[in-house]
Order: sequence, then structure tokens, then C-alpha cells
Amino acid sequence: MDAVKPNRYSEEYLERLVASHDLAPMPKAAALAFKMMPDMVIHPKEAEEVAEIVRTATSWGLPVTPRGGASWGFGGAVPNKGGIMLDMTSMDRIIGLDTERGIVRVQPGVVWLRLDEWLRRRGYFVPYYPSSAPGATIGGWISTGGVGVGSYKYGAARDNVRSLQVVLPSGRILETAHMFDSRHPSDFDLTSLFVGSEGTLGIVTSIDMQVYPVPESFVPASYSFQNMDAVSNALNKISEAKLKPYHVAFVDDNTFRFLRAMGKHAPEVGGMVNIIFEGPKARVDEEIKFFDTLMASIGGKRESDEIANHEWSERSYELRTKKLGTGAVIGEALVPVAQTAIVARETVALVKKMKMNLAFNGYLIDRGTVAFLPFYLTDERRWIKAISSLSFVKKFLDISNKHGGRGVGLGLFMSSNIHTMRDRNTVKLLRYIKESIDPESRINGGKTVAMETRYGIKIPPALFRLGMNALALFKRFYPRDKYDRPVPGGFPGGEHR
Amino acid sequence: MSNDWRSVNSAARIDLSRMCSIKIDPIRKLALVGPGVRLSSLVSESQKIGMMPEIESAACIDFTFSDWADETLRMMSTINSGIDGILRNVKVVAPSMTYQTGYDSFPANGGGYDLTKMYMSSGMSLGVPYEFAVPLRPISEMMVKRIYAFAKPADAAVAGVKIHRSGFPRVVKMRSAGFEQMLASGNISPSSSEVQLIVKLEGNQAIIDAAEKALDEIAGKNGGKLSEVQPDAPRFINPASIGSSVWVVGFFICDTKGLPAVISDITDKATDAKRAFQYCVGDLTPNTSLMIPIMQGPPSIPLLRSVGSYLVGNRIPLRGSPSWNPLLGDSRAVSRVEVLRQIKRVLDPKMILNPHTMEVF
Repeated sequence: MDAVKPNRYSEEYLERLVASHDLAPMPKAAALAFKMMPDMVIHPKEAEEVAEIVRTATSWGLPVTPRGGASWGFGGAVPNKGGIMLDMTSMDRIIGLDTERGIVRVQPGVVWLRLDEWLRRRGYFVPYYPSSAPGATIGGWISTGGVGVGSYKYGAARDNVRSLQVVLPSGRILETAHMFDSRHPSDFDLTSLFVGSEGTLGIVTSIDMQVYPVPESFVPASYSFQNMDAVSNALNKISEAKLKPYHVAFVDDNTFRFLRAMGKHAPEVGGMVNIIFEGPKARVDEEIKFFDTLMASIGGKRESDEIANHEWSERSYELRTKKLGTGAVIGEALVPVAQTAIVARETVALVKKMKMNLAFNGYLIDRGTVAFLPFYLTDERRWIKAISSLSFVKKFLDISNKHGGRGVGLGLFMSSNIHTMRDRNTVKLLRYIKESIDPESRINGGKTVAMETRYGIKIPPALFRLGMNALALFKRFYPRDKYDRPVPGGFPGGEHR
Repeated sequence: MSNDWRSVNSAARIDLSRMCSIKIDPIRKLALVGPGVRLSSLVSESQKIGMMPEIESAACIDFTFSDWADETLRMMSTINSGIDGILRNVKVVAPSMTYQTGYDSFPANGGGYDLTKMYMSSGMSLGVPYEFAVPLRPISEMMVKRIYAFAKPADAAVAGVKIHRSGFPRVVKMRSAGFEQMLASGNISPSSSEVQLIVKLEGNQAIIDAAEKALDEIAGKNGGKLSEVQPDAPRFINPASIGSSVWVVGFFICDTKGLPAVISDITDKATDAKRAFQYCVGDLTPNTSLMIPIMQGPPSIPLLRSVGSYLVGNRIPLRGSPSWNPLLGDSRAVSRVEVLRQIKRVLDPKMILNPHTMEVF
């Protein structure tokens, strides 16, 4: 491949192996359906280089998979048919900050935490980011649509990304918004089409995003509750409040049990709500007073500043408890705030039936929506158990859907879910859009709007759902192992007090 | 498709103004509204249950949601983004299919492609909207407006940005003093050099008190003073109600760096032509501004041409773009239009809906 310098191109087994999985521990048996190992890994530096690679790949008939920090677990950053893996972490330049507009331009491989540190040295910060900020890249997160820390006040990635530079499957370079008026564009704006497209419509090579002045005051506060019902009630009350804090997160009691089982100190409470305040000090002080009163009125106990600061500092390490097992698989759903309690209860009941060990956490993403993240312990080395455990995610999303929610993230493994998320015509339109922009399905093809195996066979959603239901049934009769047994101080199946 | 804003030649016109149903779901904090609904109607309906739209209601309350889906009005700002960023979903009928741009209840992240902004920026060329999903929020305990007067636009622009960045206001707008008078009377008084910053604050009494103190200080340091005049609720210009004495040239989107020069240069041109010039700048955030040059009639075609060609010719140094010809000179737009055309071919293969929109190249 002439366009690529030798030191940025590799066919080494180890490098390809690393690129063959993401956060989710996939059993080896998945390789029967998907060729997750790329044929080569390329570390590009510039958009023109990416464009040349895409053109060459197209002429060779090779699929191209872009990859950032790979900190999601749905296979979006993993090949399904081998081919070229574009490791975008090599495009890691912070190009510049326009203080007049409050916009920073970065390459997609910049890691969130590094950007935040860079901005803070210049009096700015980025208030919206994934909880995986220490490892997640900007390009990766915005490709998921990006809701996370700070979305409650500052919105999702789509609200803050002003423009993208994208290499299209044709090899042409596209700018998604106008060169000047990218906040209120006076002409066609394709930014949000590419934000959240999970890298299936093109390769993002540069991002313009809104940043904000560092706030005068920043205070985390933690409130403990008796059980998850009380936590759910607190989330409801916060979403109805006339004041709006920066970020609102919650954790259940089993999360703390897992931590204690690891030998960590963790409070013995039925659940915790963490509210983060930021802004001018006078405003922050008033907001704290307001929410202290509100939480106390519904049985919340304000914990010490030490606990609150610790909880805030742990926001990026919710999967620390993976150490209890050799892996944990997460599912993620958006649920109406009003339905949080019932979704939590039914999820716990499901866990009991499936003989699993689970904890969950989440956060408010707007006044109507909770992002709900359960995770369970598993062992991917025991592939029958691991595969059957995967069905939990499907069953959990069924519960969410039943109560007006939906899953988050399609990638490869969850792409069948698109039929439960969008109506039939819209799914058809989304596929047309993919086909019209990428007729040969070279860029991350067979994902998001379809699920395609290494042999080019599209798996019908009904078949996928049938298979998952069968696995869930199987899991109910599969004997417990050490990962399914309650942790000390816990209950079978993660029962909540 | 059009309400009162666009003229059409040799084409069927779909009047959406009668599609004005409003359904409010207080549990989901969501309003589902027809394209003919005016924002003012949604505001009054949602207020009945103690809520209000997430959209900044101080602007364009006389516009309908289909106006917003038209090619320029969507630029009217809200807090974190334009109207298209606030909308959750638009249900659309296109010649080849009906579809939804996102989800009613949720941000469209991680669930297939988000089509909302693309649709809202397409000048309704990708289908006819029949329902918009608008998130609602509780009405704040207190909402107050604070007006600061400045002698120079440049000072007002600098102060406006600092005020916005203070973290207190929900919205900061900038207007010529005569703009408010024009809205009240329907006529323009002679040009006034006074500039006003209109700051909208929300919170409880203590927060408002602290904000007023902080903002008074910022305005004072930048040559502004608190105005005693508290105007009525700001309203956007509606040609139907203002009459023929006012001409709206259009929007010019630029950042605050270019804004004072634009205002100064157009004021000079209007003065030379013995016309009054008033303007409104929406949402004075650091990265962009919105400007509406207005001249008192009867129309002076040479003046309109002169202003128009000035803005087009100086769009690069002024860091902006004119709404009536936004793609002019932006070579980056070529690929964008091509992608949009590909999608247009899927939805409207015979190109019957607002076909002019994509005939720019």
C-alpha cells in the first residue's frame, strides 16, 4: 500500500489480535460467524492518507474498520470480515482552539482526558464526555452519538459537535457544516447524520467541538437511599426540579457489595445518587441548598464530602469490579425516568431467573431519560456459559422496550435491535442511506443497519432474537459457578433490599 | 411548502397552517405538535401544566414549526444549539415513504442515524413534516429580563460574550434600541446609535440577585449601563403584522468578532441612502451571532442590492455567511450537497418537493 509509510502498517499477529476485540469479552466461538481478526492494521496520521487508503481498499475489495479506544462493547470497532483495521488513535493531534468561538479542533484519536487537561491549561474545559474518558477517543465517542457525563446540562455530542471532516467511502473528503456558521448553519448540515453513525458512513478525520470556560465552582454531592425504589424516586424528583445541576448519576447496592468483595472500602447503603454542580459560586451554593432540601424530603441522606469526592473520582471506573470475574458484559438502555424503578425491579427478577450476579449504575441524560447500565460477572473462557450469558443483554433490552425505553448502541452484535428502535420505513431509509453513500459496503459494512457475517450472510433479526431467547432459556438451567454466586454480604442474583 | 414566507412559481403549495394539534405528555415531558402550531400556542398550552418548551421562547413566538423547518428560520437559536438541536423527532411524509428523523422521547444517540438536523436543514426538500416532538421543562421559579444600554455595538458585543460566559444567563440578545420601538409601533424611528443587551435570567431569588450583581459589574466595566426601560416580551418580526414599511434583508450569520463591523458598515450605507437601519442579534454566544438588517421603506432597491452585495463580498473577512445565498463561495459545500442529493433521490426520486433547494450547483 504505497500511501502508507512502513512504520504505520502492520500485519503482525499480536497487533491484529489486539484489534480483534473491544471492551466486551467475546468467546472464541464468535469467530465461526465473524472474521474479527483484521488482515492488517494501519495507523494513519492525516485525512489525505485515510482517503488514499479508502480508495485503495475499495479497488482491492477490502473492508475497512475504523477503531478508536474500543471502549464500547457492541463490536462496532471490530471487523466482521477481516480486511483493513484503521487504528485512529494515531491521529491524535489537538489542532487548535478558537477562543472567539469557543471551538476546539481535534483529530479523532485524541483521548478525552488529554483534551480536557489541555483545555484547562488554557482556561476552558469540555463538560460532556464518556465515563471512559481516560481511554476513549473523541472520534469513537461521537460516533456512538455520545451521551455521558454532563449531558444532563450540556446535551449530547450531537448538540456540541459543530462540524466534522469525513472521508467518504468514495475517498472524497466531506465537511459536514459551513465553514463559519457551524452552530446555526445557514445551509445543509450533515453533522448529526455522521455523529452517531458508528463509523458506517465514513471515516471521521477532524472534529470541531464546542468548549466552555472553566467554571468558578465545581462541587460533587452524594445522597444515600434505602433501596433502588427510593433512588428511582429521587431521579424523578430531580428531573422535575426547577433548577438543573450539571450531572446526576446513581449506583445500586450491589455495586458497593462487589467493591467490598474486592477488598475496597464502600458504603453500606441501599443505593446512592451523586449530583454534581458547576457554575458561578453563588449559583452553585444555591443549587446545593435546593437539592439538599429536596433529597432530605424524600429520605436521602447527604454523605460526607469525602465520599462525594471519591464517588466523583470513580466515575470512570465503574467496571473496576471486573476483577471479581474475568470479564463483565454491559448492556445499556435509555429508559423513561418515570419507569426507572420498574425496569430495575424486573431486571433483578430476570437476573434471578438466569442465575447471574449483577449490579447496575446509570445517569440522567435529560429531564425525561435515564441511561441504565447493568453489568454482570462472567468468564469468557467458558464459552458455552459466556455465550448463553450474552442473552441477558437481549432480555434486558426487552424489559426496557416494554416500558418505553430502548437500547443504546448497535454496532455488530446488537444491530438486530434496530428493528425494535425505529419503525420499519425508517429502518428501510437508514439502509438506503448507507447503500447510497457506501454502495459496496466497504466502510464498517454489515453493522448498525444490518448484521452481516464473514460469509456475507445477513442474519435476519427474527432468527437472532429466537437464538437469544433459546440461549436465555438454556442459561436458566445452567449450573451456577463461582461468578454467579452471591458476593459476601450479597444475595443470589443481586437481590435488592 | 410554505406559510406566509415564500413565494412559489408554477407549483402546488401545501399550506400546513391548519395542522395545529398539540398533545402534551407531562410524564415524558414532551409535546407532540403539528407543523402549523405557533410557538406561542405551545408555550401557553404547556404553561397550563407548569411546563414550558426547551426552546427559547423569547424569539420567534409567532413562527410555526414548519417555518422552522424552512431553510433559514431554524437558525433561530436556543440554549445549546439551534431549534434543530432541541427537537427530538420529526415525522415526515416523503413521496417514496413516511419516516421519522429520530425518537420522540430520547436523544437519537446510538440507535441508527440521526436525521433530525439533516431534515431541518434541507428546506423541507426531504419531505413534508406532520409532527414535531418538543421536549418540555418545568417553569423556573423566577424569570427576569435585564436590559443594558451601550453606545457602541462593539462594546455591547464584548460585554455580551462576557455575560454569556459568566454562567448566569439563559440567553443574551443584542438589538438596536429602535428595534423595540419598531416592534411596538410598526414603524421605524430614525436610526439610533444606542445598542441594548437583553439578558434573560432564571432561578430563585438568591440566584437572580447574585446574577444581577455580577452582570451589572460586567456591563459597567464595558461601557454599559442598566436600562430603566423594560420592553414587552420580545417578538420577532412578522412581515404580515409590520406591513410594507419594513424590509427584512435577511440573516447574516457571523461571529462576534465580525459583528460590530457589519453593523457599522450597514448603518453607514443606510444613512447615506437616508434610510433607517435597525437590527436584532440573537443569542450572543461566543461562536456565532444572528443579524437581521432592516430598512425603513419604501423599498430602495439600490440600497438593498448594495447591502446584499456588501455582505456577500465581505463574508470571509466578516467570518459569516448570508442566508439568502449561504453556499456562495463555500467550496466545502459541494460534497455536502452531493450527499444530500443522494438521499433526496431515495426519498423523492422525481424531485417534486421544493426542488430548487438543491439546484445550487
